[in-house]
Amino acid sequence: QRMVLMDPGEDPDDILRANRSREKTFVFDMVFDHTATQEEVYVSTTKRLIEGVISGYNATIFAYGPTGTGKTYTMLGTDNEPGIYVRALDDLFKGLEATAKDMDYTVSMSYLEIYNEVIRDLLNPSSGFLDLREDSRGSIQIAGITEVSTTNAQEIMELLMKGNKQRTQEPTAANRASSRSHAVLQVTVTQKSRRRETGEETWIGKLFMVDLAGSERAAQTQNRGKRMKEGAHINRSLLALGNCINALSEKGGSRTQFVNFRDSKLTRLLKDSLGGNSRTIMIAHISPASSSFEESRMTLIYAYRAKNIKTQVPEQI
Amino acid sequence: KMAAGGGWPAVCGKFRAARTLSAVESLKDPETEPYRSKYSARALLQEVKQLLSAAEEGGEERVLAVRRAVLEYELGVNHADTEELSAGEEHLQRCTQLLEPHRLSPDCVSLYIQAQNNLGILWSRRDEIETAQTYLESAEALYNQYMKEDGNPPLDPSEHFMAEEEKLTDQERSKRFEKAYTHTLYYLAQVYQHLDMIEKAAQYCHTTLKRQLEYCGYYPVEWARNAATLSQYYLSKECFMEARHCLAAASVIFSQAGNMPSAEDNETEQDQHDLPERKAEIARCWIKYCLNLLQSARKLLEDNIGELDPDRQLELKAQRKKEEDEKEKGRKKAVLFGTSDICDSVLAMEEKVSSVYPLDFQEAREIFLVGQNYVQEAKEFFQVDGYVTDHIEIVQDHSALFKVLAFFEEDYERRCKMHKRRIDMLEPIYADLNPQYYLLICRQLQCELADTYYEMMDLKVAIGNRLEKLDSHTVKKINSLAQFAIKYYELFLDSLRNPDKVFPEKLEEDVLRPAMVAKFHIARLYGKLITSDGKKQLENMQTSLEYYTFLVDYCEKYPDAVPAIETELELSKEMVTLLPTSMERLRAKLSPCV
Repeated sequence: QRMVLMDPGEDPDDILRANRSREKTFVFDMVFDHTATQEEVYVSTTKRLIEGVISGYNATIFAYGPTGTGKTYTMLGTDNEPGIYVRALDDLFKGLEATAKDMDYTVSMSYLEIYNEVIRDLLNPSSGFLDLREDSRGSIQIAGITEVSTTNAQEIMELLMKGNKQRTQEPTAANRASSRSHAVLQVTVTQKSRRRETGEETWIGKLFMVDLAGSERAAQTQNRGKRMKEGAHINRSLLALGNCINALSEKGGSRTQFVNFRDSKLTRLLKDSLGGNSRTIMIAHISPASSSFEESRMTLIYAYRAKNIKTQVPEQI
Repeated sequence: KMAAGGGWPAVCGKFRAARTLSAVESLKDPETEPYRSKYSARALLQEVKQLLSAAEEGGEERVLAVRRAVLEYELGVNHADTEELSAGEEHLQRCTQLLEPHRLSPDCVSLYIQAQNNLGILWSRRDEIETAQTYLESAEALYNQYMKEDGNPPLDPSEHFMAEEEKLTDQERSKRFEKAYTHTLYYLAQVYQHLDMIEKAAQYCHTTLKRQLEYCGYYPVEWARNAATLSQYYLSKECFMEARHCLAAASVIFSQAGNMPSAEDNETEQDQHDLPERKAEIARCWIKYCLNLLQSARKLLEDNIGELDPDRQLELKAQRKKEEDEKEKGRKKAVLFGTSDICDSVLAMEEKVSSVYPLDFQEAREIFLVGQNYVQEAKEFFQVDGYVTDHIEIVQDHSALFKVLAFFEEDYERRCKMHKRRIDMLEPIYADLNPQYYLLICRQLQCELADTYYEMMDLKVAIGNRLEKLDSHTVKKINSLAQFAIKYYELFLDSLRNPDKVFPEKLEEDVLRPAMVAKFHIARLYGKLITSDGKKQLENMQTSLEYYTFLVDYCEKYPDAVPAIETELELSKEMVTLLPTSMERLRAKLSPCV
């Protein structure tokens, strides 16, 4: 579907700028306007992924965009208008129940924040900073995080709303580099076949639902991984010198030549979603205000480029 | 002097209050009113501006002009900070206009440069990166001109609103001036990067790092990390001397962490907590340095079958002698880190490892040993339990170090031993890994183990060929190695099957070549198996033929696969024609009565 971003600075009488209209057309898989409901957005973006998770694939949904454009509304929603988190979980439980004759399953979820490269358990913030650990059995684990095994959607919504209030608040100072909060809801579905013929086979599917930090200072974040050039903004602070140096080696050279130790915590946690073993959806959010033109443009360009990253999906058996 | 109305001190007070609001109070502004303090600051600055205009008749024109310029600068930055770029630009332009005739004098130069820095940033926010470039390069030129023609520590702009007794020392002035220029260079580094002028960007990053050590203050851990990262850029350009210098400096500066209070804020608890990880990261960069140096040397020395070419070796050794003198000159021109106190430590670190291509086994071994030490250091933190991916990458690097060292080793038995070390370190890790989560790494390890066993088998065959007769021990060894290689190639091929265990009709691009090579090697390995049992031999030849045939058939069906495996395809086609004949002959021999 097409959308057009119009340049609010366009002045038909401005001869100097006549050829430099920054109006741009973008094509995405889906475009929603202000009349779209939570249900519509969920069904068009996420619903299909749930079946995949039940079959043992991974899935990841990102909400991306500047602060104030509605990412948390899309992901968390409100009591009256629940967002993707709850709808996804609801469908997941229904789907699993349908296979309950043949399968034993367990579902657990955890809700965490990554802020300034530090991980906090939003369901138990007093546990302090948590470490990311990998073991040879499974994928990334977060040592000590709360895992909730409930199928009650209402209960989940309450936990998530409470958790969301625990996200780190911070002043919007222009001088601070990389201080942004990502919220990640991680759902793990483990299924074992009951049928004796299929033996001990276990399917593990992971669903990540990510409410990304505001992208308005995207150039200042320390996120790497599949980082794209986010505009030509010069970063004022020497704290971001590392990013600059890191990007020097970005072009060319095989991956094995370098140590990629600047991968952010978010990148490591979502390793499988970024170019690997997973189905990924990104929902980009922009503001309708003309004062947000630049930000909207950056957001759309980023989203458009993200579209072209191919992911491979070998099934996880 | 100023007219009445509180006098000069009051004006200075207002000015300072404005700056405090902007720099300090604004950090506490609520999310709903993020620019509250900045707007208050702006109001104060406007007041000061008014007061200055009122005094116009009485004062020295020059002094007033500079003071007004300071205000225009502050207002410019203020507007830019509150996203009012056009107003910001206006004020900053007015600032530079006021200073223009005196921009090279000590009371103006620093302010002028800072105004240009901010104009550069402003234009970058409009995505007009080339315009940003002109402002920043102009600032750079001005600094250089000033340092050449005058060089004395210039006034800091804040001094224009200070009482006489508050004025700064020369040392402090110099520090602030140099800091402003460091930012100019840092901004230029970013600009050059956006313009894809990567080499220049690297140069400016390097200089920025250097100046951080000398003038700006730095966090040792962060600085060390950045220097280590920069070394990787140099590695990609095969500039080993520069890479080594960055790494040596990184190690030296890192060791300062926790020992001395850093020039800026104290490092946080989190930073202290992370120290072992940071140390291990730097160790990993050193491993890559050693590995890259060895691998680059190999590329220069190898002939067309991958063996060390003695003629090339002599050539390069002679060439190196000649270049030794030139290198020394080059060294002096290079951008070196270090105030005098760390200079010696950095030099000491550099002397532990060479930065020139190793041309024989002795030299290679020395570099190998340095790399191996860093492997141990890195593994101290990146243990298997908790950091599987990192741990495995380090072990893969260790294996790669052995592999490249083997290239330099002439004796086949000793080479074999080195490959055995690789098996010993990779096999246990592979065995523990869950392929469900680590599919890619499992495949890498399968291929590497298979290739290593294959290499060892080839070496044993070569050793065997030198003997009068192949003894049973060697035969057993050859067969065992071949079987292991086959095992791992088969494991890799199995990993490509779908859940119903069916091998894919068409192979994905990223696994095409490895899969084909696996098939090809298996074919060859079955051909190498030694048995006195004729029937078994026939079976082996049959299997061999099947695998060669697979390659040929696949390439016929999918012709775009051909470029990926041209050589192997050639040989496979030959074998497909030769093998059936050999098999017939053998069959005839085995059953003479028909």
